[in-house]
Amino acid sequence: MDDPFELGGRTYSSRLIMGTGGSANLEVMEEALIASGTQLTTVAMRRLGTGHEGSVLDVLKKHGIEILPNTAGCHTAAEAVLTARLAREALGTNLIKVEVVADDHLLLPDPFELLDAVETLVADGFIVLPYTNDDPILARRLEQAGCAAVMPLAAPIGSALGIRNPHNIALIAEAANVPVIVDAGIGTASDAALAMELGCAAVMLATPVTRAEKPALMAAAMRDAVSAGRNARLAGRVPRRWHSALASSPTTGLPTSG
Amino acid sequence: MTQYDESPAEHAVWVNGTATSSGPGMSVAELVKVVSDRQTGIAVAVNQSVLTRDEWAVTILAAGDRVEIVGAVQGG
Repeated sequence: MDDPFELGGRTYSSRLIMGTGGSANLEVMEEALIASGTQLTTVAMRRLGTGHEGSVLDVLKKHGIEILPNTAGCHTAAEAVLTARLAREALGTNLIKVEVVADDHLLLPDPFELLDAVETLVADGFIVLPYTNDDPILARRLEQAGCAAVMPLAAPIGSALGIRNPHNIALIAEAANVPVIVDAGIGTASDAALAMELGCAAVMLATPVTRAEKPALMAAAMRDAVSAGRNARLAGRVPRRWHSALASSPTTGLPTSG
Repeated sequence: MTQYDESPAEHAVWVNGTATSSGPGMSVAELVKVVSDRQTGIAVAVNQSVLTRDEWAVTILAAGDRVEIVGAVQGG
């Protein structure tokens, strides 16, 4: 089925964006990325000399997976802008997933700092993908600010609680003229399928795969769930009937007894 | 890994949050070689301003400069 995912002037066949955080080691991460079928995967930017840098890029390059740097860990617009500019220089990409969190407890986005960072980065030529609350009005403001997508959370980062407010996600997806990508809080395959059924263009996740007992198996499940959810959305589900049933077998031609 | 001398002196260059007395007078390109074997996939900011790769060799560090040298790690 020809159903490309267009994002920031690029085209992908996969609608599953992966993160790389939380993997036990690079080999496990690599197996999971391959199983997921992802074509776009996030990395974070950190000071050199902390012993973490480098090899994740080699894995992504080996498999032709595009890099999506993020601004994870930033608490202010200024920090996010600096991190984005460092990422662009280091990795040679204009893509940036903007995260500006309010605190380290819930890791929820700070909407005011986020919008501030987004406006600066759009003006600076970035293709901006903001991690945002599941707030339809904030999503609209981010789109108006020039974001190439909006990435509302399903639930807090790493919580694996699934889509806490599906109505808000549906409202965001219905109103947006840019791709809506559910980001954070996915716990298992049905959550990813639901995101797609609600009208999202893609799903981004890391924790439910990288911290699963069998990461590669869960990655394959997520790949299939995103695909199934997308097809279900395109297929047009039947309406819910709360007060009556609808027979699926013919109601005439029944044999009679006696 | 980081190999520069730690120094609290006011004559230091701050590299990734650590004061180093060997920093003043060095170019950014020289400093990057001290800090990391890796030369690709990294970026440098001096006093909050990101340098292009071409600027590394011609940017000479002075006491009080604050240098951030970063690379990509697993995350997100």
